[in-house]
Amino acid sequence: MLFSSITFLFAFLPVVLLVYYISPRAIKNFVLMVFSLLFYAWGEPKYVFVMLASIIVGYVMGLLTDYYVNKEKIKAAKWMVALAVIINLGILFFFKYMGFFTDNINKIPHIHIKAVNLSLPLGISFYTFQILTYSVDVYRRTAKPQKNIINLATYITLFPQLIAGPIVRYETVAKQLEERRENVDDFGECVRRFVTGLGKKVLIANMAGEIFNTLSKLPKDQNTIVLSWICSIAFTLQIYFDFSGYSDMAIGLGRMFGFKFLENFNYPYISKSLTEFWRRWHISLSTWFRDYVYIPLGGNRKGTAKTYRNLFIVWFLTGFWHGASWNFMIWGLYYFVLLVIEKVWLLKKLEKWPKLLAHLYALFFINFGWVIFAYDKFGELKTAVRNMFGFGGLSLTNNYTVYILLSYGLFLLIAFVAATPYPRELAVKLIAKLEGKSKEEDAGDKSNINEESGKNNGVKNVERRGIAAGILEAVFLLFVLLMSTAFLASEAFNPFLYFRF
Amino acid sequence: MRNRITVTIFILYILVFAVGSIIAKDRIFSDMENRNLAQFPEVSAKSVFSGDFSDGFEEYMSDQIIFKDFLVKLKVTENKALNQTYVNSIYFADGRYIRDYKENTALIDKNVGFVNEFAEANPDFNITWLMVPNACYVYEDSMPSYADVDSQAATIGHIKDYVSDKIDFVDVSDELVSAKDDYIYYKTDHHWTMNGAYIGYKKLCEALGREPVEKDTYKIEVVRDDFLGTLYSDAPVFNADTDEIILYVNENNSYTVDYIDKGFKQDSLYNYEKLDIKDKYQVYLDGNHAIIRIRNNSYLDANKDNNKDDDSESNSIAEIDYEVSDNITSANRVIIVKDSYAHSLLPLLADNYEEIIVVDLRYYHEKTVSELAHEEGISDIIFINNVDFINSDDNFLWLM
Repeated sequence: MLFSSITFLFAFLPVVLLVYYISPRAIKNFVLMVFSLLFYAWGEPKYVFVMLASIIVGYVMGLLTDYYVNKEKIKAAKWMVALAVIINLGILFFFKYMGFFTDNINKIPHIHIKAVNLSLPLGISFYTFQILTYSVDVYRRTAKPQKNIINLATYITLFPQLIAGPIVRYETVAKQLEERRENVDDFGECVRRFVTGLGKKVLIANMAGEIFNTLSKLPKDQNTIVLSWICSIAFTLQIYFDFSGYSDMAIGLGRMFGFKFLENFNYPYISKSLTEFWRRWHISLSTWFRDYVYIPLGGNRKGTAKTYRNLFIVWFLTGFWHGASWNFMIWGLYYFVLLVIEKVWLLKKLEKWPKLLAHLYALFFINFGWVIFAYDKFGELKTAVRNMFGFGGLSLTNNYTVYILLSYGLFLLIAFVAATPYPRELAVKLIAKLEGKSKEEDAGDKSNINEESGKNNGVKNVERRGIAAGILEAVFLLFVLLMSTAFLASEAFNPFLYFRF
Repeated sequence: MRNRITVTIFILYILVFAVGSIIAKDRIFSDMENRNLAQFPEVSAKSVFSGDFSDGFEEYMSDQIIFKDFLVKLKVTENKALNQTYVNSIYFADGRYIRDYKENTALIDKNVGFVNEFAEANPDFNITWLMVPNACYVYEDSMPSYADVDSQAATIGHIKDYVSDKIDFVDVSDELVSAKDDYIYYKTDHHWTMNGAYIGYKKLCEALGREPVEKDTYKIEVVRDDFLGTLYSDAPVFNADTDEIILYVNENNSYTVDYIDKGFKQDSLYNYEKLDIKDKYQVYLDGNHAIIRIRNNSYLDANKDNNKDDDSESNSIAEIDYEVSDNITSANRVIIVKDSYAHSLLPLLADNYEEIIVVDLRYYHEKTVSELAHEEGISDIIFINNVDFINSDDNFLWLM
């Protein structure tokens, strides 16, 4: 099931919220697990069992690891972790990469092995990585083993982050699995996050996706250099708003059930270098690779040669994680090369460049990266790149190009602005002003907003201002909700981008 | 306070749609979208495990959501507000909807080829082909700037070059373009109005050498002014102008229309009941039919004394008696091979023939047109088509 669907919004969500909130504390995790399994099984009933197998392996191996660690039999504990990792990565490999390997091996002359082409279990890359954090965290003693398999299963299957991340580490939610509190202020924040995410996905990403879809399939006699750039920019916008929209929805939904996930995106397109971009893009994935691959490999502490080897491995895997296809590998290695160049030389220079130039540099290479990412067929990729750089035999522009600009210019402009932190900053300022708080007050009670606590004469005034801010926000949220519902009910273009992840 | 308002609004919003959609009665058909809506899917172990149930349920949810019509309008209105003038293959063009046109040259050549073969295989037939351009040609100037629409003028020119010289090809584009300030095409539907059809009728009569009935002979009635056509259904907005349904009624004549395929007869060229359904264009000759027979009873009165009604009514095509009456000369009978543009033109042409047999090749596959013509002893054949139709239809092979 997708968050961005009528079924989720008006059938699944109200039911799960209702049942969750009326359930006694003791069975809340169980309720969440059952609904999460239902959510997962909705489109793909068979693969629930694959996920359950992964969970059982993680659970048993976690207990065994802990047992041996406690007995200080570190070697045995290591074996247990290794086994957990091998089995879970094995499952991932089998479903996700077997087809790719058999296809490519069969391209070698005289070799014919039976091709395996399975459909990919939804979200398998996300939940496998989550189980791995559990196994490793238990071994590292950064988390206690989970004795209750329901709690562990709740963590893995938790529907908010199940199919498109963020990758939530066990240590982040270990405590919350056992004790968490849901309250109105938290719920208000979740609603804001969820609705914003929904709007990003349905109103911006899907429309950008429609532009990409139209323009990437344009016949040669209609295409132009300008259009091929608009096409790539549309994909750049689509993948950001889609992915970060999903993360926003996941974070918001997680919080509705009392879970606090870490941020996954932090305005990546305002970066002034690619190094910065990767600190802001899909943070849960890049920190996962840092903490569970790069650092265990020795990080940058074992000499220059090994540092670059480790970086190479990390970026190769990062690319390949996004899908079993050559273009994702190339995309990963593309960043390896660029990031090494920045690390060795360019980053220091970039700091001295005019800001605008550094932005343009970063955006250019980010955008080009997405072109590699977008096309899994070499022929299409080659054509797209040649078209963009004027080697495709296309004219610069034509009437259709002008028409596309007239039709989508306003939308693209809105999307550009929405990709920056300015709208949010403006909203925060406006709300703070309406609520009548000075900056100091605002900073002071950010962690604990409690308007009713004051008993001075200004209480009513503050409350009235609170209403004004509330109404303003309600109008905005209603607008986004209503427009999103309208687009979903009209069955407008609504793709799911992560079926290969 | 802000959080409370936000949470309340959110929960109310979800509940209104969730509960509202359950309470509201499921609709079978959407008038606005002009299509059947998904119903609650069948529940069985098999459908659940194959995923058919979940697919069906999602379709059901989005089709049966409360305020569906409002939501669809809201979506298209947003597209329009963002200056997106092209939605679902339709352009918003200066107060009217215009369907996109992309020439499918291969299909057009194939279709013209079938008509050519038909003409060449039947050298004794007199074949006339009326070609009607669509709104994208006539209202080219109203299209959004830089819109990428193929030229129907070029298509018609191409057909003219290719069509057999055994066929009298009639192009009514110029007459329609010069009358474009009149109300000749619907603003919300892909057809021409009866005013447009009258222009086509005159041009056709000219080619056939028959005298058209003068416009002031008719009682011209606006029978509805709330018509929202098929183009509107594909891209509904809140503030769309509605269309008028105009009928040209010649009160001097009486007609019998035999809807052979459905087995009923009416003594009017218009089925007024259809004015109350969504697709009001069906008022003209009851919309799409595989085969119908239009008799102009007054034509017989005027020309023959021994006119009598055919009493042998029957309900199935097989029993229909195609026997040619001796009283009707072949020259006063014609076979029309058409698409729905003809529906509003044929009520006019009915005055010029004793009998018109109308076939729609999309539905009429009982016999080929050659067989039908030979059985009926009719040698005058008129094709009436709009450009969009020959650019998209693949039923011309049923000619012979």
